[in-house]
Amino acid sequence: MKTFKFITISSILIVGLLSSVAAQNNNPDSTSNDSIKSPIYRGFIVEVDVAPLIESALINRYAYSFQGNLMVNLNNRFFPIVEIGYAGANKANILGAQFNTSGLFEKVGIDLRLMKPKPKATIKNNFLLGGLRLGMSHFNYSIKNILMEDDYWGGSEIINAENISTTKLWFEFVAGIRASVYNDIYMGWNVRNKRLISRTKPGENAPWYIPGYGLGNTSAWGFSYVIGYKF
Amino acid sequence: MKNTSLISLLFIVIFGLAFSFNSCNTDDTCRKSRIVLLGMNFYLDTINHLNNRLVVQKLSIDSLWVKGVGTDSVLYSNRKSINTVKLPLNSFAEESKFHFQFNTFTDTVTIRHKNINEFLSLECGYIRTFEIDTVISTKNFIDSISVTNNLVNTFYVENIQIHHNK
Repeated sequence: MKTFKFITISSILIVGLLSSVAAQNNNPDSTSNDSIKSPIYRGFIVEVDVAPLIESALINRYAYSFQGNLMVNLNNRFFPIVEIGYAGANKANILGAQFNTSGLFEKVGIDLRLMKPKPKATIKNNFLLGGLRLGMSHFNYSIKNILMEDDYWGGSEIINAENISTTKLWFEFVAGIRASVYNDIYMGWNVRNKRLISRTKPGENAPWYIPGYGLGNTSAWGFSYVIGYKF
Repeated sequence: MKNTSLISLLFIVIFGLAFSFNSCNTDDTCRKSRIVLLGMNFYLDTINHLNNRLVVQKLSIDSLWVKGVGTDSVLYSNRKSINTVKLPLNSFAEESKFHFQFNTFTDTVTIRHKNINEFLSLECGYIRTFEIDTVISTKNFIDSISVTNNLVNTFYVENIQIHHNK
């Protein structure tokens, strides 16, 4: 049901945006009447995000993430995008408490070109982009081997909470660049500020890591470095 | 040339910042309070003979000893001029008994409670919070008891009032 809602909202957003682009192009008062009309659809770019691979190899060895994107170029101004990936984490802290999870995540959104490229720019098709994403992940996680002790009265207990199933929704503000580095090969990066919509209530077993979102129960920062090919 | 260097520097800074943002919050330090204590205050009840009204005021105990029944550890040992105590409830039982010595009088207070597991984080683990069910006591120094807040958690509040009549 949640997946259905997510897809419906995303589709409405994308369709709304496409219609606004189409409406703009069909405007009879447009000054481009005299010139040759360029197509709205300018192809699509298939991308791979390599930042999580570098991050899990060098910095956060407890987590992994694989992500692919499909970005459509509309009039070199609007870039609807779908990001799909698989991520997980296996973390044990110094006290022996363990957390593990893995699951698929999906993000749907749009980037807008923020600046018009300079006509004399050496790199063609370079875009400064800003946009939004709506992300969702349905995943299972386990919190194991957590020791609870009573220092005054005595006694101890090991608590295990296994296979907890949950769905998390979040949105992301994105800003970054895309540029054609060689013919149809594109590269780019973006910085993301992620805000969790469906938060865990205080006292409940909160997931330490959310696939596609990362760490934190309120907001998180993220970084993507993408390599893609334009079709 | 100058522009290219500036853009490269900006790129490196953004790249570095983004990775540092990504990699924060991964240490194992617990930064939340794990201390769960019941708050108990002492009150003196007197009758104002002029208007026959009950006057309730904080009571300072000259000498107080407090110890959990069944433990060897003393929580308060001959504490002077004290009007409040913070007590740990038993995480692995649904009843906590405390032995009080108010000056020369002794009383036993029994607190029955529900225990609730509360997850703080992977770094902090679980704590056990409590919901007070009933409180009973012997009546040597204590005249009455009232529960003002039945939830015992990491926010320290007054949970129980101990009343002594003059």
